[in-house]
Amino acid sequence: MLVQADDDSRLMQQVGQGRREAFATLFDRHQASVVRFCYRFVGTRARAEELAQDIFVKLYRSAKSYQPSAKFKTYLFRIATNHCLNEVRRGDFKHEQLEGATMTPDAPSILEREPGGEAPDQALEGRELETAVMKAMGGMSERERAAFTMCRFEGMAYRDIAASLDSSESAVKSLIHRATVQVMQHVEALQAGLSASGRSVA
Amino acid sequence: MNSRDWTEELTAYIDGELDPETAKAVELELTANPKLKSLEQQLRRTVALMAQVPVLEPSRSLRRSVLSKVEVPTLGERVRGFLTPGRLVPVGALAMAGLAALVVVRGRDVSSPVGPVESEEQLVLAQNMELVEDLDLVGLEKAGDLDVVAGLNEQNEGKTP
Repeated sequence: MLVQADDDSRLMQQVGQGRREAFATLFDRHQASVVRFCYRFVGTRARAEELAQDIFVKLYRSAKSYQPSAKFKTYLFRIATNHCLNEVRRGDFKHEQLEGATMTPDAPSILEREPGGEAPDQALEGRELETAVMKAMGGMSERERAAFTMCRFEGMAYRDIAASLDSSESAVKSLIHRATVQVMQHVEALQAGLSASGRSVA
Repeated sequence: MNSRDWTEELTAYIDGELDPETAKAVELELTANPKLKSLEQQLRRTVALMAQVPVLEPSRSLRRSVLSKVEVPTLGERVRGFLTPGRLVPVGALAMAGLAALVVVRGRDVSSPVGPVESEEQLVLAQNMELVEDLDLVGLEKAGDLDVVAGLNEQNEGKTP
């Protein structure tokens, strides 16, 4: 992980020296993460990719002034967070309901993945889980959404999330806790609904 | 009974983000507080479920459109990009070879193919070179054939008035 981070920083410095192939490598490594991050803000693939495109162009243009003092991923997500927050605040994008068709269609059932977990009628299919998560995220503040996404879907440490959000670790801890509780409530409501309707999801 | 609200610490505890001392305090509280323990288990299940959320894959067109936006080099960048050692070495070698060939060709001026004649020996040599060329022209192979040619010439001169 650290080796990868160092390597990314080195590549970013090469981009600053005009080496576009280094930029292509960075893009290939991080495009999925950035698109998914943007998707959590806007809820559609097309809009997420528009934002991701802008973010990578900004990253390229900032390469000459890049200082490898922080992890590259932190730097990238700082650009991504600022861009997404600006776009959302400007009103160009509003968080939308999940577009089911844009997700991987054959996400395995939770039943298959969680041995010893809930009874069949309480289990959620991947897409329903995604819907619950997106609904919960729709009710979050922008910073909660950003912190939650970086933590839960990118596996970033609180310290790095704090750096990306230009915030303190203590504040990030609260953001992530509140966001996780909201998701928990939506997931439990969905599970309870499925249970009450007697639906069995395989 | 500890009056501190530990719920705020639970998520960070699950994520392994608490310092050892606070983590130990949370563990103690969990053993004494069933409601807190229940919440901790719910949160832990929720965190585990996030790994099951389907993954969005970016489209291929995204790569093309992003790279096309940064792949329009300036003229200077194009020249610098062309002048790499891998290209400079063979191009330089070709240029040197071309220059050397030019010097050799110039040395043999077209208007004076054998160069200026500086001595009697050179003049003889030059005449012999011309003779050899003439022999080739008429299809003769050895110097002895010249006598035949000379005889023919004399006969022709004798016929002329």
